[in-house]
Amino acid sequence: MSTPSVSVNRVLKLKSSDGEIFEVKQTVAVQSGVLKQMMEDGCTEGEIPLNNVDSPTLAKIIEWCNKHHDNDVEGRVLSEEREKEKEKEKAADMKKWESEFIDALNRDEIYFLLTGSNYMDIKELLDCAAQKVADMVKGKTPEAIREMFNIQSDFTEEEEEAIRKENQWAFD
Amino acid sequence: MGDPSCDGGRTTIMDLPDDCLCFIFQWLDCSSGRESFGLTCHRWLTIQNLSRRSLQFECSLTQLSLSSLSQTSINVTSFHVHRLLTRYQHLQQLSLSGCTELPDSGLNPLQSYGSKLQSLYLDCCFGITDNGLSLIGTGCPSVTSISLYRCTITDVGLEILANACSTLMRVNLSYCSRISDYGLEALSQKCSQLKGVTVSYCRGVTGIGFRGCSPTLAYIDAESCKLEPEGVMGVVSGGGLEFLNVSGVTLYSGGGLAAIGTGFAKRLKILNLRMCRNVGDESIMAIAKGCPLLQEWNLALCHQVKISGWESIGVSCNSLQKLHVNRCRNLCDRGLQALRDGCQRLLILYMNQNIRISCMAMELFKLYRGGVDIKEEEIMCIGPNWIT
Repeated sequence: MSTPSVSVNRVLKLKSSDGEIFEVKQTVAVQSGVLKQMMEDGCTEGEIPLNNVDSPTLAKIIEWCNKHHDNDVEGRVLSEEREKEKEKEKAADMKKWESEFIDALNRDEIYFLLTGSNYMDIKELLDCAAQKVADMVKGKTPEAIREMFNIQSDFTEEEEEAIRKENQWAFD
Repeated sequence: MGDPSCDGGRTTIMDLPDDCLCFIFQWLDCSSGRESFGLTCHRWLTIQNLSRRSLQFECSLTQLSLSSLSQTSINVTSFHVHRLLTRYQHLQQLSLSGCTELPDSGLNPLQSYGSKLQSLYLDCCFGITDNGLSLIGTGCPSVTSISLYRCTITDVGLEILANACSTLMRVNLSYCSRISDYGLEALSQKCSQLKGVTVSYCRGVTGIGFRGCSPTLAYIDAESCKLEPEGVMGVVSGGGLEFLNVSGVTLYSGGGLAAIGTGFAKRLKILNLRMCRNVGDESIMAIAKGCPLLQEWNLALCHQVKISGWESIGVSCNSLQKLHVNRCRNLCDRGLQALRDGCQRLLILYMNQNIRISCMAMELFKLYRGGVDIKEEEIMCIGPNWIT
């Protein structure tokens, strides 16, 4: 859908929960479903408060969006075939960049990124962060998962036994 | 920085809102991983339970794989179904196939938890009756696919279901011996989005029940039904048919299938007439002319197709790519030549034991039509499988 109110040069002022202001191009900000909607509704004048996102997290989110924005607009004048090739390369480069981006974060940062991207509705970033946490869970026993994430079990022995039994009846 | 194995201490995974935990859960791709996730704590169990979309029991699997037949699976009772449906409240697909002793009351939990169900498989649920279908009708209004292979349901139950679930698209009634045209009529009239119906081996079905069915109905499998000429008219009456299997139907007269060619089945692409032993040239000529898009036609064991039939196929079937003529007693050299001279799009000819064809005629066919692959195998089921 075209968004007539979005222009290349205009910037949005995003205010993090701890009061820091970040300037973001509108063309970058459209990756957030929430900001896109606000732009379409024409209510992006002044500072936009993002009460659920602190400044380190917002900086990370903007870094992600800038990277993905750049990737979208580069090199549009190549021949179709060359462009396809280029697209492939770029997709691989982007995958690499994404994994480096996410691997450089500690768990706290990943959690904040999850809540932030969920709040701002940035699907690709949300997927990337969620996958990262899922990879930590994979292949572990319930006990190991609890230990890793410091989760207290609130099951009684009987409850746990009943769930395990039911799991054996159910198939996908 | 950069060590995801340790917490920074500012927050924990339990601070994440449920929808973030759901997104994490979606990335767990094996069932043991999902089960471990759910066994961590109550909150995570809830995430697991609400995320599950499809469920079947071990006995439903044995329908699909022979290797699991030897294993002894639990005898699924109302208790099992109740426990699991209470746990998994957002299912879109449920298979109780093979739960042979499950009574109607076993479907009671669907009243509370079946509203999101889209596909329901009850193959060989011998304990399910019309009362069970009534429970499905009230509990699962958005169901689009239902499979009732070999169930002991009647027209009464089918009518209740059709009235309640007008969004039904795919219905499998194969071997439901108590279903007749009356039930089919209710289905055809009430469900305007029908795409596929299987009534194979329903001996009480003549086809009349399909009269006035939706043009969306593209797939009908009526193998071994007792079709009447008027019933054949009913089967094609929607005008949208693309696949029709009437193999092995008992016909009162050899010309009964001519109705397929009367103009309502112009979109037909795949037609299976295997073992229609008395289908005659009159029908074949009508179909060849009336179904210009026909791509695959199975005429194996159609002994009454003679020279005029083969000639009309050669002349009129310009879209035909696959033709099955295995064991047709009345395919002779002239008939084969008619196919050779016509059917310009033909790619595969399935034939064996055609006793009236000489070696010379075969060699000539191969010579003139080098691009046609001649296969000796005999294939019973053609086209797409039961669409699920």
